[in-house]
Amino acid sequence: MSAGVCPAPSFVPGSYRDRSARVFVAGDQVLRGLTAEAADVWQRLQPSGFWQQLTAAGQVVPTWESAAHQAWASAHGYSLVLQHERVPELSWPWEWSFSMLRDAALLQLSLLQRALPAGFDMADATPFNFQFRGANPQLIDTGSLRLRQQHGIWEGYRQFCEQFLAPLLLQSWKQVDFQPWLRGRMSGIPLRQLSGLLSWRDLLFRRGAFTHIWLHSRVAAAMQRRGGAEASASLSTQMILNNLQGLSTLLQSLKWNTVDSEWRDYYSTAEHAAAHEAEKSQFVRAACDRVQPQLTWDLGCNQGRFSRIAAEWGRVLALDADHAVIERLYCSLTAEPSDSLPRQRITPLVCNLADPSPAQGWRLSERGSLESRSRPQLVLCLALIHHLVIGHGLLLEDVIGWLAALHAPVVLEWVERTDPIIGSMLQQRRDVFVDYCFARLQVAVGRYFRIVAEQSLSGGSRRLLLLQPRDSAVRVQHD
Amino acid sequence: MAAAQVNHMNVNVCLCLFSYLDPGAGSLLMQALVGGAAGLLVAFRHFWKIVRPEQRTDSAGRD
Repeated sequence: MSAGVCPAPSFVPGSYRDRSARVFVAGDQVLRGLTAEAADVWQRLQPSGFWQQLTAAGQVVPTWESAAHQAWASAHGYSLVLQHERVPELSWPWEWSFSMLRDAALLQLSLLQRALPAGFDMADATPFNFQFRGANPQLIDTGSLRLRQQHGIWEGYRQFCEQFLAPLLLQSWKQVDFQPWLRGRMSGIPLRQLSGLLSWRDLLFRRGAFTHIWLHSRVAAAMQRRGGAEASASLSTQMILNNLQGLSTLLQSLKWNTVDSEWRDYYSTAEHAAAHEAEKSQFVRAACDRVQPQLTWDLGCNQGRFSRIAAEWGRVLALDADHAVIERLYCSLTAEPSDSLPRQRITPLVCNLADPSPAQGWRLSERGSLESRSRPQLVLCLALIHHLVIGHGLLLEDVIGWLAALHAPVVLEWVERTDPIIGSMLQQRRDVFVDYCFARLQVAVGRYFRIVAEQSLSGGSRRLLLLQPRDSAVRVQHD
Repeated sequence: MAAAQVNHMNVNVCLCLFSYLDPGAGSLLMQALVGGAAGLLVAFRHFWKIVRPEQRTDSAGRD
């Protein structure tokens, strides 16, 4: 954009529930209009020690008052404009692993535990108020903070149970992946439905099952049948803090057993993967050096070994369809110091490329699809294409066409039919994959890309290609 | 805090200008129950922490 041109602001489609603090964008700027009442909260919040601590700990998106687009905001009823530091990569809860959702939930509880004694409260308790910067969760909805009423209830309690607690319990207690449930219903898992899945054993012996789920759903149903408004709230802050502490202890006690994943131990059990790792690492490093990517997509990232290499150059979205491997990668990142480069730059996400996150919500614009949110400058597609073509039945040319549509250089690993992995994949299915051969790959690649580097791996059944899209602005530099 | 008290069906309902979330029927009752139960637990733990060191001190003193 040329200097001096002021892009027209527009409201973010997903920011409509809280009328007092709506988010709008203008070019690269992320702004929030505050009504007079919300501005009053902000004026009190900003100098408070509570807010300073949050900001210093990086637990809230950096925010400051801005003079930008004040007239536009005023015309829409807002008296103050805040600017937020842009979160580079947005993700949704149905793309998070168990520990990612749990960490966001614990941050939500911790924020409220610190906000209440400081005289503040939070208007809601939804995972959409959080985003991951690398592998670190951060509150992005500063508008959800408000002044605490002297005697109020925690209005986000049911929402917390449905959008945080229920999915985590489903995963931990029933070994059922929560992502399809959240993707299917953005408002979370109704407590009545989760309650129906609980056994007597769960209700009697599992902490929180009886109160937060079963009784909660029954009381809600009974009160709804009874009709009328509830009596005015008279809960003390201490009672709410007790509830928050109980929920926090419950979440920390949850465990998820990831042993069922076939991919979790891929590198320790698959000899070919281990044997080629050094050669592949060298090739990926050289590709990164030539492309200098600020954002890399690592497709089928598994343990994230190549994500870590790409993180030396910039941010990485590490995508894998297997929940267990994303969980393992996230836990390995969070085990590192909070300022380590991989932890700050790699965001692992559960994503099945054959069925990726679609556009969702009101008018299909509330939560954008994966491709609408992020544009890579380098794509790593290592030991993946045979799983897409043979495993998912996708057409080879279609897969290459999709990669080309990302408009970024691609590091592609091609696995020949002579490789043992292809043999084992074809053992249990009829070989109808006539398009899976190197000659067809060359034709498809030639249509969209130029091959700028090529290397055969030891053993002869695999090769690496560095592909430059013909129409991409991101260029591979020559050696 | 910008809040208004209105009388409706003889029940006091507190309206917060920033509230856009329906807390859900029975939320108050549930939170009172959970908060109360947790409060008892906290009180018990607190009591236990106060009592336990004394017991240790007593037994150590007898040795």
